[in-house]
Amino acid sequence: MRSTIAVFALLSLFLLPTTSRAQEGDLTYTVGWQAELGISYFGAAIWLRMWDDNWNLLDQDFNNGYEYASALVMADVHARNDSQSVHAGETIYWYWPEGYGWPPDLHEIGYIEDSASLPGAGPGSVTLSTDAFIPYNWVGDPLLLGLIYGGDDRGFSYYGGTSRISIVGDPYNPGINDGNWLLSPAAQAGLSEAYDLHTSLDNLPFLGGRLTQAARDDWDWGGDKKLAWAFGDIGDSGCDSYERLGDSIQAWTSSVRIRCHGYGANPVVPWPFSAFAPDIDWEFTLTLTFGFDQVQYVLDGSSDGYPSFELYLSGHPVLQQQDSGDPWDLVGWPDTPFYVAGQFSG
Amino acid sequence: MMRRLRFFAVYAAALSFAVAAPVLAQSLGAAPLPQTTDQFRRADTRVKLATLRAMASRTVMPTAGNLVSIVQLALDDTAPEVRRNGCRVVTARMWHPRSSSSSAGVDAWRAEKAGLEPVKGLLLGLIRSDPDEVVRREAIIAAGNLDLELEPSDASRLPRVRISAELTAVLADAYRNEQDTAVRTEIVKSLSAARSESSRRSEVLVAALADVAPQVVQYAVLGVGDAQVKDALPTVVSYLQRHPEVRVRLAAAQSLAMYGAAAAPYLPALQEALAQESDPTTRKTIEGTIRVIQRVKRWL
Repeated sequence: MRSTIAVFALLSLFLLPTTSRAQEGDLTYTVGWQAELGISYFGAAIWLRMWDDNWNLLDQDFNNGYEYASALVMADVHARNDSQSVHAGETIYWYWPEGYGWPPDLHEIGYIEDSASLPGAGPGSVTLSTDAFIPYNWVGDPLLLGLIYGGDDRGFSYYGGTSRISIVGDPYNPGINDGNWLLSPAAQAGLSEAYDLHTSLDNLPFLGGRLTQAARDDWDWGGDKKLAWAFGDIGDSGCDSYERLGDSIQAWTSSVRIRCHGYGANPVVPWPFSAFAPDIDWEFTLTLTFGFDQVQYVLDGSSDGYPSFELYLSGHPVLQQQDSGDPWDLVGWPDTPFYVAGQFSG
Repeated sequence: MMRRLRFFAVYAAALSFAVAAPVLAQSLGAAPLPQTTDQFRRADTRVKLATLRAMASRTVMPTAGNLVSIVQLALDDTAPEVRRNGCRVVTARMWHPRSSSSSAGVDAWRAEKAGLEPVKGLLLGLIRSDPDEVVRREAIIAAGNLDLELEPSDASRLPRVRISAELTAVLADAYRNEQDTAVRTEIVKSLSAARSESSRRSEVLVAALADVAPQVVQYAVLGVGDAQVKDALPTVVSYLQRHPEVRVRLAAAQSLAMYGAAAAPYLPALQEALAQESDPTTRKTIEGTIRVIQRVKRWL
């Protein structure tokens, strides 16, 4: 930042015209600057200071080495700190040095502006990927013995594999973008399949029996192996908010809060067995803070505890919640809490 | 000296406990949850929700009479979240194994069902007119669990549920007035998956074929196949050929298989749909449906 703002001109009055305009966002600053001849006072220093909207000092630089310089140059920097404000005009003042009258006079002497993203503002967006899946080859219906459901048969994984319900979206880094989503969050439900326990396994259930290929390939409705299949109902699952929290740490970071929830009309169970079945439920709030070349996250939420639940940010594992092993947890509340905080490099 | 030290240690420990115990007890939730209707009525919403949660998970076991009374109070509460969770208690309490090699689980299910019967009227009232859509949806699930009976497994090994004409009528009336998509989906899913003596089941399923929401149409398509509504066959075939949503096309293929011999005249349309279909699961399903219909045709 220092190198960015260390723009001075000494002993002459001129503007530094710049016309470049970078993308906008909380951490995009627009700075006007002015070099001022003013009155030369031996021993004073030239300063360049940057403030945010609340007059918190963002940064300053000065030329200690120049003993003949005199003017204090103030660059009024507006870094957006809420979703509504926009970059204000930049006004340049010069400051009467100490010892020559008090209170000091601020004289507007014109402005010129430039804008750019603060270095280290982080990636332009992150990929939020979350899903619920059944790690087993199959699971039994807790109510109707003899009926089993196909599982996703996998461990935690960012890449590949099926899931019962998933949401993927790319929230923008609010520090450098005015938009909310690069890719809007999209929910998808996997194919749920019901099988006859007695005809679909290659071994006894308690001896590790797995679904046979013949059962997997039984697509005849009313067949003797696969009894039903359907795409789960994703309901209104998704992320329905993108709340800019503004900047912090003297405008070096910018945060966003995202709320997501998922419910599927029990995507484990296909029609017609899904009649009056409880939903799969989960909900969470994800706070992302971009800055210092990092993305910090705080994930706070809860799920049913069944099935397994995972969440990744740009491939970085944030949450890998093993299922409780009890499909009965689907009944009632999403009362298995999770809270995770961490960071990864952008 | 040692004795004095020991005295101070004991004194300090006792003092710490006296100070910390109430705080600790509160933080651990040691305060007993309401177990009677009077206690529940006086409790604030947070305590009511905790009570209902405990009743659902059976960590609190009030007497049968108090259970019903508390659920009734919850379903009648002014706070929608309390009504919602009152419904969830009913659903959770009804989750007993319904088919079992031993009769103990089934007996427990039937006993719980009979015990909660008095709340059924309240649930039907919530389906009809609760202002909160989540409550209406939860009430459908709860009322269904309370109402359903199991049909004996048929030759296709599909254990199916059956609901009463009373619940069918309530759901049918509710569908006509319902604005919320999720609630309409739950209604049509219930009526398509659960069989009923009432003719109103088919009536709603046919009407729902024209619903604006594809998830509703998906269940309607499955339902008319299951109910063998012959008049709906051309619509189902047209959905298989042209509906933009893959879930509806998949359901249409399954529905035609349920129609069996009645769908035989549409075999050319199925072949045509197969040639056009891009979704792999739906393709396999259409192939299966063609096999099923050809098999039935041969038998005839």
